[in-house]
Amino acid sequence: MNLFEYTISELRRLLVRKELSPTELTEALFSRIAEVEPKINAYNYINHERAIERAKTVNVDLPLGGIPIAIKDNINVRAEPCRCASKILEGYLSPYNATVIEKLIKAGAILVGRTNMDEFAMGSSTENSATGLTKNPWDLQRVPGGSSGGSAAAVASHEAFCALGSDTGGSIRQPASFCGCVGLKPTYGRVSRYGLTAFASSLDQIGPLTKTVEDAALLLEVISGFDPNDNTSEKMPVPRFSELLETLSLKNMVLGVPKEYFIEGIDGEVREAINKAIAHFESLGAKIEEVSLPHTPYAVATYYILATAEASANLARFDGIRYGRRSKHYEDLLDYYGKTRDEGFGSEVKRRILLGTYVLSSGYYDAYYLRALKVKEKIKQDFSSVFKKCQALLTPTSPFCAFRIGEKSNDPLQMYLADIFTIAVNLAGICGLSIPCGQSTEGLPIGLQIIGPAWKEEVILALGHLYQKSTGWKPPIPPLEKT
Amino acid sequence: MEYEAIIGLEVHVQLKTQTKLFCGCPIEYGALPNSRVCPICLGLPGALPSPNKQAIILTIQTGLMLGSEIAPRGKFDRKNYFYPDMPKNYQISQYDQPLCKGGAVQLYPLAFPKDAQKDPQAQSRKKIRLVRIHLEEDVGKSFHFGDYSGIDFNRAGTPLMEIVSEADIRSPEEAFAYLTALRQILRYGNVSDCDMEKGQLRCDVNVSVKPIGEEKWGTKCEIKNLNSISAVRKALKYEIQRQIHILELGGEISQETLRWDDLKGQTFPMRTKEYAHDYRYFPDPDLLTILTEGELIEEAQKRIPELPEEKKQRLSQHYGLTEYQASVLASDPQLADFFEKAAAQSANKVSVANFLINDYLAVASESETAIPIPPEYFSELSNLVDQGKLHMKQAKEIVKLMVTEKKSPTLIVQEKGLAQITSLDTLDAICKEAIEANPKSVADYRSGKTAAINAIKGYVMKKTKGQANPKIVHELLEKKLHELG
Amino acid sequence: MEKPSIDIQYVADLARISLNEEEKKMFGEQFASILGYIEKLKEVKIDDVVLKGEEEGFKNNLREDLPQDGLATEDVLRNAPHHANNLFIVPKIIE
Repeated sequence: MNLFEYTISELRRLLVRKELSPTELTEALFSRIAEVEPKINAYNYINHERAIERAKTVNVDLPLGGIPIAIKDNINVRAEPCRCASKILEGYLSPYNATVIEKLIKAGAILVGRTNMDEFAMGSSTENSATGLTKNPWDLQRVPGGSSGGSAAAVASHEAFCALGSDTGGSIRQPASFCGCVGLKPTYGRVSRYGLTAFASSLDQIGPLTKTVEDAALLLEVISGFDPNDNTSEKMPVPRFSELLETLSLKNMVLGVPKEYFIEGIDGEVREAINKAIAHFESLGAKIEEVSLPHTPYAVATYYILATAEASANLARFDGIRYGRRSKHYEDLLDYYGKTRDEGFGSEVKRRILLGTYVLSSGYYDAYYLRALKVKEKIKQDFSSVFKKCQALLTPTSPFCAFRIGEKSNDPLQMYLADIFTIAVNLAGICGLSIPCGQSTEGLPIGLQIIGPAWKEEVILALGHLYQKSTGWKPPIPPLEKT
Repeated sequence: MEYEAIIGLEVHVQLKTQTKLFCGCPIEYGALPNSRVCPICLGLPGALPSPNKQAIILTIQTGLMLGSEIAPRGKFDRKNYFYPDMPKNYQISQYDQPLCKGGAVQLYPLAFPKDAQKDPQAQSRKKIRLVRIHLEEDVGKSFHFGDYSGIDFNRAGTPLMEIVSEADIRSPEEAFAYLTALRQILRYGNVSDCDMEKGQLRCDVNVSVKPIGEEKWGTKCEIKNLNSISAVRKALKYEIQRQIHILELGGEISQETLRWDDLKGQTFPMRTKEYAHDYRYFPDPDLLTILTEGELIEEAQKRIPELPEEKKQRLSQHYGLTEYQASVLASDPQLADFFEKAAAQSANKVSVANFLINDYLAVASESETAIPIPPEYFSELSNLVDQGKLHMKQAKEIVKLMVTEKKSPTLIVQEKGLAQITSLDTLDAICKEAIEANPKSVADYRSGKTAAINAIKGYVMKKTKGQANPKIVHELLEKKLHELG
Repeated sequence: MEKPSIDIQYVADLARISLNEEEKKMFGEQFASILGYIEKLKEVKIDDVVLKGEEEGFKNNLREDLPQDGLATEDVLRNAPHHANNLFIVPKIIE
């Protein structure tokens, strides 16, 4: 078996026993990157030298000692670019570390580079990137999903052992599903957002993309916890997720299947694979119950009001004054702003800023923003009432498998509907996990979403782990070919 | 036709905290540009605000001191507009749920400008009602050079309290008194130093005029960024006349934003911003609710000092001061504290008050906030006079010397040989000499012109360089003259 | 509410994005379809929703007023497109 195929749990054992050095491991990963990257283009920035320097001195006894990790391009790392796949942050070097980066460094991880994404995390295909397209390792003519498409493609093609992504409406889970890896969106407030370039502050959460659920648990354990620098992070104890994986009993466990997630328009093969996964849990002893989340059909509309409104303010700071790219030709201050922002932002970002500006503008606040906040509350209530009868929910992560590059890029609304099954989890502030659960006849991965109540990551992780163990999951090596 | 003015004030006050409202950067006036900044107050991608507890407590304390209603929940909103001195291009402020609602500022005669303290309006004891008090972040500072401007973000993020009054003010003098009274309370509470030179208190003024008796208010204009209390008065005086003049000529006031040019003594319209103001307020999703009940309000309550009105009453009753004396002392909490310390060791409290008010304040420099000498100096001084060791005229001179030379009155008296001669033997001899040297005055006195004693006394005072105790000299001379038969 | 129409120029001005005619046309059409979709929120009964602003058992999360180190000036200015004398330089601000 090649070194790049290993999971972090396996690597940890080798590292601690000194059967493998962090330098060897890091070099092995870099040769895999050299081989695969030209086909995938998952990275925006790679710092080979810095990683090797770090590998030489890192303490392998730390929780992630010697483990290389890829970081989404919207999380700040001191002295590295944090481009958010945008032209407007061309040349930007961050002067500070995000809290999650501080935690990773403290835990002994080795930062390898920055992964591609949709510009400012706005998109579901990683096509909205100023640094080029990332390809789906299972079919190079297809998108890896988004916005954390680079992180998912890197992990799936084994040019990263694990990665951090960010999830605002499905941006970790959907690409994990498209690429066939594991992606976790933690409960809102579980992981500090300090240093994550904000898209929609009330929905954004950083989370892991990994080869196995076990690895996701390991990584989540390290990055979680209250942070005084993030007012919205919660003072909740962080369970030892990786140690709780095997403690779950499916006896007396009720898993809900929300009927609104099995609608018309869902791909037949996806439906089949999900039903099979549900049956598998039933065979392991879980009780399966159909439940209803009646406000599901309103999630996408609610999301596009709240997320764009917040984004319109969050992205106002990109004005070419303190940092970033500015327009070269301008007449006065107003023109400076207008041209800098027109030239610096891509279409999707402009579209969302404009939409968000509109819904907040004078006379529309109540009709759009306030109403959306109230519908969000309804969506939250839907989940709290079903979680009274069941411990977790099983749904598809996406209604379809990875689509072709360019297939949806001209119709924003169709693209928005790609997130139809993931968005409600962000609106409710709860946690969700996507794990691979089969393939389409074309060989494309299908993702199962396991949704848990707030602060119950240990439950969905244990369920995911049980699924992978009982089905003999082994992270596959994708063909890296065009079909 | 007689007109009256309708005036409302928006006052921005920098709070006395060590750090900024949403980050730990120290607040320091006059530091090197952009040397007191961090990812948060520079608005770098990914930085998040972390609210300063002290700033919230100080705002609540202000509300409590001014009789406002404290909101059970505080909430921060984003106010969206682009401006180069604003790092995020939105300002974190409070929109529909300010920390404090209502309240009032009580005017008092001494708060009015000196030349208006005798006016009936200064005696009215009017209360100016407040609309609200909220907390927000300050912006950076711009400097203008030719075709471009330079920005320093050191000030960006400083906690700023906005105090909005009702349009209860009717004259430039009332506006002056309102600001003076408000500043007094803020200083009392140690909420802000309110140093206007450092921009710690800034003021926007809304003003309109209407014929007296008319129900409908006129079109109002806003004068922005006035940076001294006297500028507020001057700008209002000018602007009210300008508006009346337009109306008298049959013109119409156009709603404008103005700026005050202190050198020219005129208001000028600011060049209108190109776009409409549509601030798109919405709750800041980076910040959680602030529950004020419990710890925050309790802490704020603990910090409320004795307020000016209460202090005045107490000083007057406890030390037997006149209302004027009590209110001058109470106008400055530091001065009042100083007085109380000095009075504690002095037999004559009223004389201590007089030295402070009539003599010290006359020589104290405006810029000096603290009194540069210990209060014991004043106790000593008043006791020296009281014991007859100094006479009043000398004591008044000594106040000046105490301040300039920072020496105790006893030391000054010794050094300058100013102590009164009270020794009966010494004085007796000099009086004897005086009687011998002034036969004409002695004769006059004896013929019934008792005022002639003053000439003899003058001789004694001259001989002793004014150090003789005049009372004792007078008694001795009378006695001796009578003895002469 | 009648079919939503959006004043693209007004919104673009507020957002400080100079759009060309082509972009204005494109965004205009796309917004009509997106806002049309968003209209479905009107179906939801929301009269009973009270937005409280915090969860049960919420406790304040405030920072003590203690100074912390900021950024070194070179870090502050390194990313600035234009700076001089420690100041960020912008085209003249008109007041």
